[in-house]
Amino acid sequence: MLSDAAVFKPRSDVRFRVVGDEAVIVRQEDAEVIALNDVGASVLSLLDARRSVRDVLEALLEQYDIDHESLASDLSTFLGELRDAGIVEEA
Amino acid sequence: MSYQKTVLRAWNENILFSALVELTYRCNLDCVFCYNDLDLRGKPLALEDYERFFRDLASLSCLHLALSGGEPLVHPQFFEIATKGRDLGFVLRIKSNGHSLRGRMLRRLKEEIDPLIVEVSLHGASSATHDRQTRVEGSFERLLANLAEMRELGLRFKINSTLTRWNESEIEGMFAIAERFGAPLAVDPDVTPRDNGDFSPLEISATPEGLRRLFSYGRTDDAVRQGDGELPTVDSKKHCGAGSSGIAVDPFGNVYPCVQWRRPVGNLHERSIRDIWSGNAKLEEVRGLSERVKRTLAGGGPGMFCPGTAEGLTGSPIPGLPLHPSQLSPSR
Repeated sequence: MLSDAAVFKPRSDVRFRVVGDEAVIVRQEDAEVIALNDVGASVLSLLDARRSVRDVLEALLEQYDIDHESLASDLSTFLGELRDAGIVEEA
Repeated sequence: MSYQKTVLRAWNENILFSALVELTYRCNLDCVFCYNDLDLRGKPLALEDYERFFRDLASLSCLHLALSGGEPLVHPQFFEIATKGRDLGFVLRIKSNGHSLRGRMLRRLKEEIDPLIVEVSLHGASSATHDRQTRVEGSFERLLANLAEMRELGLRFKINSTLTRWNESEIEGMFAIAERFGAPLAVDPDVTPRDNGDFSPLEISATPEGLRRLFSYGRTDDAVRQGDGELPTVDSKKHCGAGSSGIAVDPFGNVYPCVQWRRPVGNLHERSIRDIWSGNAKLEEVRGLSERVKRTLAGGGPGMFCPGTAEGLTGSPIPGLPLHPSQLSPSR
């Protein structure tokens, strides 16, 4: 489980755009292209090196009708996956 | 959602996803078949124009930005312009002849701009052929030295080439050079007319034998170029993303559906790209023509037909038969 106070940002070689309700991510080091769905796009847009995991969670709770506990768990898992995939890093 | 589906969505919903920007028509080489209209005049875009333009592009969800020319690196504010592109989160491609990609220039490009890829031009597998096409003595040897330096520095690059009757006998050697540097080689089978309608570059178009040689080489699947930052999309009503997901801009702010389709649809000195992109009858016409090309080719025909080049060659973007070989796949 990630710390609520952790702050994430996209890695320096990562470029992305939100296109409609999806995110297209290009990891430049290996020219890998990854697409995320609407929830993933929302999360990625919030990882700006300023917001903590707690801030991101609160912002998402305002957007999506889901209980706090489930979302917190899913967010933690997803952030771990983004980090393991080389898309984000702790700021 | 896959990337292919995102591209398809961009084509179908007219989401501006990639832009090619010709920063200048100045160049440090003098290629015989250069397609640029060197007589075109106008007010060049200034740094603040590019900044505004790039901000608008980013707000339209545009991800891919290619900086081209002429030779983009000879633009006096290349690094300022490219840095703005980087800071706004674009995936950058630099389309260069490679002549000045060495030493400090090269290190600055890697450290300050960090493009996804640099595309450089190879015109032959020998000094005699390469220098004949570039009309700059020593350019072949210098390019090979620069490629070695680029590789050593870890800059991602690919090699582009246009097949001509002068270099068609060296195609195997060109692939060998690319292999030596561990870079992909994309061969454009067609020389195209200049953007001012001058057909003289076609005098060195590859011969039918040269085209057969290229296409029988067994590397054409990955050798023939695709558009900037896009994948071929078979499920769209449109033939290509020209004017639907992509645009090209010349040094004077003229906006075109793509680098091949030189039909102006607006000028950045007069209107923002946001204004040009929405509710534009000229772009709507191009999008409609792209659908018509798709329908026309549905019954069979060349998979690599380019409506933009066809319009330059014949006055019509709609394919007719029989097709001239030079109407096949002229992506730059």
